[in-house]
Amino acid sequence: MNVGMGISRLPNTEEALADALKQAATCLEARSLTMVFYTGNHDRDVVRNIARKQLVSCPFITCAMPGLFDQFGIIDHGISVCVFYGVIAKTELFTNAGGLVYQAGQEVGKAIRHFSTKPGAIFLFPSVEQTQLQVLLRGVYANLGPSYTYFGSGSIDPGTEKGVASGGFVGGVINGAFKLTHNIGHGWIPVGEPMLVTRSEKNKILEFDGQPAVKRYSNMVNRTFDDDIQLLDNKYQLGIPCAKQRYLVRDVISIDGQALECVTDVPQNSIVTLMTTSIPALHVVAKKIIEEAVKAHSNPEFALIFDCMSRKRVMGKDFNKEIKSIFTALPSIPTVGLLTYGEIGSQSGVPFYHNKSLSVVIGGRVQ
Amino acid sequence: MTNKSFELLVILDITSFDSELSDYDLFQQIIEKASRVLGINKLALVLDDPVLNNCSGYWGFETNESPTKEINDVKSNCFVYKFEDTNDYIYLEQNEPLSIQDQRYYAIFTHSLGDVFAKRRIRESLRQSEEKYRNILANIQEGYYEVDVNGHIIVCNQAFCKLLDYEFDELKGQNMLDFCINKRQVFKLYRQIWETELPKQVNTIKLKRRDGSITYGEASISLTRNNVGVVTGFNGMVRDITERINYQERLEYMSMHDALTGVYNRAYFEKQLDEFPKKQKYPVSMIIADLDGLKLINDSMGHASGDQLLKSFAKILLRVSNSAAVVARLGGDEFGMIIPNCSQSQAKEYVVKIRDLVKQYNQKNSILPISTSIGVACANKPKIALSEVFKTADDHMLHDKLYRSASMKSEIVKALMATLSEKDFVTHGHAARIGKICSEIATKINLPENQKTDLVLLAKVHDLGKVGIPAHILSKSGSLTSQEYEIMKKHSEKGYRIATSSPHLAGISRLILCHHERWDGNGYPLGLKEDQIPVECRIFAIADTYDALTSTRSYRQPISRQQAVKEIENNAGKQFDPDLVKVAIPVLKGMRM
Repeated sequence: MNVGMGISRLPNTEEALADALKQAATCLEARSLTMVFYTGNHDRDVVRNIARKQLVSCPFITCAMPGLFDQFGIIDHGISVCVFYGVIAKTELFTNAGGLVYQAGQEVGKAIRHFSTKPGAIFLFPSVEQTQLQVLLRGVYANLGPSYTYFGSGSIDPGTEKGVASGGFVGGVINGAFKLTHNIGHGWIPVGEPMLVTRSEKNKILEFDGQPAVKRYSNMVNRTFDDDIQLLDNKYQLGIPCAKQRYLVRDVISIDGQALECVTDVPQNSIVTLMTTSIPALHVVAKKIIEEAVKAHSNPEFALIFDCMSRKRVMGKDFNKEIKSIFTALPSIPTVGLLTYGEIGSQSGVPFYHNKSLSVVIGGRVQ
Repeated sequence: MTNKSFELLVILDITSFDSELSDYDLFQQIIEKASRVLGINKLALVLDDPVLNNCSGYWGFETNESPTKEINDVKSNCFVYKFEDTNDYIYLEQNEPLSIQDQRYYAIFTHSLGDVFAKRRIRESLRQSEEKYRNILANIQEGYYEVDVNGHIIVCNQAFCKLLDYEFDELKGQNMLDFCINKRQVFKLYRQIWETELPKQVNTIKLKRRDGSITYGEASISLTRNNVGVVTGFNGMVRDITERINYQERLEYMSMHDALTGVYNRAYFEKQLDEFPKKQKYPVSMIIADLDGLKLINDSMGHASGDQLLKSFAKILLRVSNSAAVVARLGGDEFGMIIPNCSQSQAKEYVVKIRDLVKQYNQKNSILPISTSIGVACANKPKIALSEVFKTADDHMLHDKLYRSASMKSEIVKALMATLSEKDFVTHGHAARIGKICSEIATKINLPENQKTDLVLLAKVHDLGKVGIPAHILSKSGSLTSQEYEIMKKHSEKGYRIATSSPHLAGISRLILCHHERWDGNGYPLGLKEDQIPVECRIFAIADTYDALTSTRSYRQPISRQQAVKEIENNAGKQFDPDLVKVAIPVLKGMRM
């Protein structure tokens, strides 16, 4: 297996994609799977048409991201590619999962397993319009189990060579002689007393401890809200306890009457706590995450970084320090950095949808 | 957050289940908690219990089949919990071997799940029990209702809704007493039940339906108590007995009333005769009235006409009587009236009123007039037995009838003749022409004068019996069917019966009977032949046929006189007396009509 990576800052979409692919052309083998990530100022349809033209028979995934980055900093206008050579690969696309999210995930899981009987790596890119991402991941996992590894992130207009998955999601599976290590974390810590989610619907929390969610949340953070939750998300988020004393962070993005609206689903009858952080703590955790992932791989040859867009919002200018921390911890290997809308990863083998997190995938051939 | 605090958080999370979720959502909740909080990566929930079966499922196994082998091969990283008293179990698997803390979490999680399943079983059992109870209530034919202590309807079944003809939503919250006809009585009943705390049976409860009609119910009412025994209202079972009550009332009515006229019957009248002295409303007068010539009407115009006459007369009697009087039909054509607080002279005023109304009626109904004989008697004191008064009134009525008999029958026959004329089914002038022919033939054969007179009268009234033939047959323009012809043939007999009732026509009644007999014996109604047929009828037959052939009828054009004479000659010895035909031919040829 070979992996090639490229990042282009060229303004013209066709030239930029050609440039990125050229950088990623590390061997003479045919491409097995190409993942194309582009910033929103490139036109989706232009990107897809050119990808079809340039990648010919290679399965591909296209996703718009809020930003890209490399060791030199944030790229607001660019295209990056990650090309896998010499592996067995396939893409899956599910358009508009609608109300049967779990079953939709199950169908995709079955399709992947039908294609790939040997355990492999699965890259999943759900649309940010999907509000039950965790249910979707549970569905995908249901028939695949822990033998597969799961990575990915929330994205805009995810697509494959077959089309665009509006409101749905795309996935790519690869099998081959390679090893991927993964680590994910966030750097947020719990504060205050726990609250029981007594009523929720998808990504909306209607009640905490039997009280209207906004009222209880206001009391907890000692603030009253109009509609300006945006000011808050830098300071307090919600955390759901996980195994190994970890927490899944849930971004509160708006207020809908007496309900708090989050990025994705918060299960009814789960316990949540307020979560807070500091910028230095985030940098420390970022470095640690990368170091642990690198340490776990005996032959690191490339890295894919999924860094939450909202971490950049929290850090502001200090986000460059996070980039520096990441690349300081990485060996000198081809790396693509993506700013994302939620990150997919796991510690126990089960994929979870994380918010405000940094996720890293280190890959290399098996020696 | 310390380890202890986090552990509490975990325990709080893994024991917070919503047991009322749907089967699908409960399974999702179990996977969510187990994978997120406990870090499991495989889960099997095997529930044989039919109540919980739909919550079963496998998650994280790389096979579509039941992963029994994997589950049975329990390793250090697996946890299996068998739910109490069942074959149900849950299998949980994580990456690493279970620590003591993991085992503690898993035990708490699975015990908590056991409680959830137990709650679901109880809830399902309650649901089934409630459904069973609801089904019983929904399907029983008796109406069931529950009211609060103020009588407001809380719940009722379909049968109860049907009883009152309302939907449940319309009845809910309404006061039960508002549907009861006798509110005071029902309220008293509820108070008795409240005070004695004992159920009560009510034989008949009258309820008002949507359209205002009354429905009858047989009810059983008792107190309703809540689960701690406090009285919360009342409940009742109501059996619809409206049909039974209506049937009873109808039977009772029928036992006392005459079905045809609607006035009381003889049984009720006689019961009144027996019971009246107890009521002491003296003087008491009795009027007995008998319809004259009812048999004649029935025979000639049919029983429907006779029935109509009876109904009309009953109406007159009811119109004359006051509310205290008893009007009854005592027999075929006899009516009686018992009038309390009525002297003999007052009773006679009643008779005058009756005769006035009869007169008014006859003016409007000349075709079917009423003729009645009336007798009156009075008992001034209780010592006089009403049965005696009845007998006296009856005697007076019979006397009146005797006095009126001859004129009465003539009046009826006159009325019938008028009817015959009005119906005009005989061509205008037919009787006069036949009369003329008959008269000339009779003169030729020197028929005695009295027979000649009878013959002329026969020509006039021979079709009298047709008043009793239905109009649609009489006025039919085409040929009669064989059935219709049989009915038509009866007019000879009907005419005979009418004529015998009239002193003026009794003498020619036999001629009317035989006016359709034929010389060869093929006539009707008796099939007489030759000399058995009265000579008047033999003459009449020739005259009638000749006139019929030479006159216009609705169903055919007339033939010439020569052709008619020829036809009669041809039928001499068959339809007609051959000797009389010989005499009649010159008469007919010389006729100037």
